[in-house]
Amino acid sequence: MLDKKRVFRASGIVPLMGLSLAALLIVANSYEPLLKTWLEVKLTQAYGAKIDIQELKISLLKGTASLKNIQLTNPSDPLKNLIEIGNINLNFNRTELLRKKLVIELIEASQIKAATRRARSGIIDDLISGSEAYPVLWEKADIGGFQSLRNQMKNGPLKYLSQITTGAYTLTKMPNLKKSLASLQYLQEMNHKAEAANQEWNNQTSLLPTGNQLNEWQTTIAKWGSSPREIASAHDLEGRKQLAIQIRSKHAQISGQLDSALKNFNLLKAEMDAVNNLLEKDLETLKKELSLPSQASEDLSFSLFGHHVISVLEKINYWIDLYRNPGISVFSSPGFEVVKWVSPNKTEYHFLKSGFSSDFEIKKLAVLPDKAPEEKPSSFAGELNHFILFPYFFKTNCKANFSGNIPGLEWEGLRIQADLTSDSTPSNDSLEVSVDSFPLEDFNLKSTPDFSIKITSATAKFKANGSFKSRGLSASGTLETIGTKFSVNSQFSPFEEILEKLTKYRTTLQVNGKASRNQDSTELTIESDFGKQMATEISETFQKQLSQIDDTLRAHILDSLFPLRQSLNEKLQEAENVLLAKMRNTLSDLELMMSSTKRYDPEAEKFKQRYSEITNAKKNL
Amino acid sequence: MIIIKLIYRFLSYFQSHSTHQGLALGIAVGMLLGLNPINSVQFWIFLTFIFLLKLNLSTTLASSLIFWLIRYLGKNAFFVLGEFLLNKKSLLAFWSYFYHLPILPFTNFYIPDYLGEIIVSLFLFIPLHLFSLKLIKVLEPFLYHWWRTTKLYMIYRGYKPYAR
Repeated sequence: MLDKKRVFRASGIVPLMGLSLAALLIVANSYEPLLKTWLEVKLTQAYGAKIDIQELKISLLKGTASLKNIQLTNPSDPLKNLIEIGNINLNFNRTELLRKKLVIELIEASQIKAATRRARSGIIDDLISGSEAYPVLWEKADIGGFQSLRNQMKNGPLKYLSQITTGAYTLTKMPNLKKSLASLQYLQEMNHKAEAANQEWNNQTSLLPTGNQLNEWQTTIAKWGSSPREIASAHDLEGRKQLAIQIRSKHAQISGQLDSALKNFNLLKAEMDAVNNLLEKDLETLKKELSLPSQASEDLSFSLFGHHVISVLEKINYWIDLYRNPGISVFSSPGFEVVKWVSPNKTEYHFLKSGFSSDFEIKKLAVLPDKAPEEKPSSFAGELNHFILFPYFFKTNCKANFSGNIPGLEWEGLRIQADLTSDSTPSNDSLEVSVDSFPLEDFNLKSTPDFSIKITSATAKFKANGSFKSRGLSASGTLETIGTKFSVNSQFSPFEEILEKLTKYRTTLQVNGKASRNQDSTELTIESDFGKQMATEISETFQKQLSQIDDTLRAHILDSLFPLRQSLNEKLQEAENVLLAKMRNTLSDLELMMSSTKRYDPEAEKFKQRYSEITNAKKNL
Repeated sequence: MIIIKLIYRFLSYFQSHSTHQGLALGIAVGMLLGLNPINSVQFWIFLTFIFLLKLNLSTTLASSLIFWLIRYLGKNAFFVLGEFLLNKKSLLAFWSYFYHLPILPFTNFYIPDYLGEIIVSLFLFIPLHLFSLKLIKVLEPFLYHWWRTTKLYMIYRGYKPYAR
């Protein structure tokens, strides 16, 4: 039995309570500034530029918190804020907090200003960023997602533009493309065929009567002259008859072989000539593989504006994906799941998730319009309902609606509408964003080592909508600019001329895009007058260079085919000059002998007649 | 002088409750502290045992250091155990109920390695206490003499006017 007196120490209760009270007092007095600093550091780390909070007040008893003057630095202009929020008041559920769940009943944000000046630079310093640099909010979304489209754009027609413009086109990709040449494959097949035919003919010539045998036959026939048929014995006559039949049958056999060999030979020669037709086809294939602009009407919009569109798509896709399905469900039962989640630094976590409440939930977020009379009022207002981190497990719909004008940013008619539906399987989220008017300044349309196109100033209008079904995507959007001023630059004067011609009198730009993604592939089409016109201009101006490329490609193909062609020619020559000639010579020797032996061969006349018929027919042909 | 006295007074706590029971309890509580991470609510509850139980602080400290090392080295084993328990169908309703109770989610029991550590530490508490009690009885004569011959004890004794 446990002796309570020996184990428990009643005297320890007083110091413990004293210490606990002291700790509680310290925490109660200092947790707000500590929490404020912690929040600033964590938010800054995640966002990628400084986020400052002037004041944080929390009342755990009332279940309220308020933040004052929150400044979000503009990452591309650290001396300005992207947004400055004067007040954020929030009410949270105290009971849920005891259950380690932060359920925010209401967030109200007011006094929102855009593009305000910062007192000090908002560049993230080393102290906050720490040694373990990991991707911040902006960079996170750029990791992967639409890599196939990026590759497609990288290998697009503009890749070869600089080589075309300088006329110094180098066929760097050729070694890999060699394999895909149809003519090359054809000649390889032909070589195999010729080799097989040569082998067959070689076998046949090895079976021809040898020189000694022919000499022997000739000597025998010559001897018959000294002993004419009339005085020859019956036995001798029989011997002569047998030899005559033997020579005739040999002749017939070799004649047949030669006939078929000649047929094959001529066929091979004819087939060899057919390779020329394949050359043109290969030329087109190579041009296509090298992504050279082949048609005058080709649209270069994808290569020109693709990276902007892909970047936007990747960002949206990343956040929707993260919101929708942050982990893999290891086990599930109604309203309850065990989830495996892999963090960006590849650490695996297992969470037990319940359908009854969430770890983090915003029931309602409201952005209130600023009615301060002394300043230019912002009409920006909006609502966010039921935003839950890990909605996948809670089957709740999140709806976001924001609209208004932001004077600091000169954005007019901004509308954001998001519907994140988790209650349907498969999930179906939709997003619509439109801005009636916003300024574009120093916006890089396309910048490569060879050329750059920049919009120095313009007023733009943007509209996009998309739906995300499970991992699929369907989106379309339009960007229009008016009063557009361009700045173009290229190190190749002919190309700079084209760019200047394209932009000198142009004040508008319209780019339309459509994207779709299913489990197998991602497709993106972008259209614009600018892209079409640029392709036409390039095609016209660089026609000469393009024809030079044609010549270069043709020469390359011919170079690639040369060894095969030579080998094939050698094989055919060997067949014609050695193997077939040998057959022909043997045949003429046999014919000569047959003229002396025909007297002894009963079938000779018939054979002669048939032979002359075949020869005549061949001549007629 | 007062500060030095206070320090010695504080150090004397490390020698207090040097009974078999105090030493064994120190080892068991040290195990609870060593196996449970500092960012969990159970660690702070176990920390109050130092005040509420008659235990030897030196052994608690030594034991917690040893078990902290065990926790560090056996992280994967605790993870496997926790994952097994969390994924067990028959226990799912139990975990679900726990998850929605006040305070309990602060134990982070739903993270596999945390659960593994909690389970092992709780199940080990009484057996370790009883085992330590037996072990101390066997080892005490040797350890006591050995400790009294160490230089560290000599220094401590030399500076401490009221040492035994």
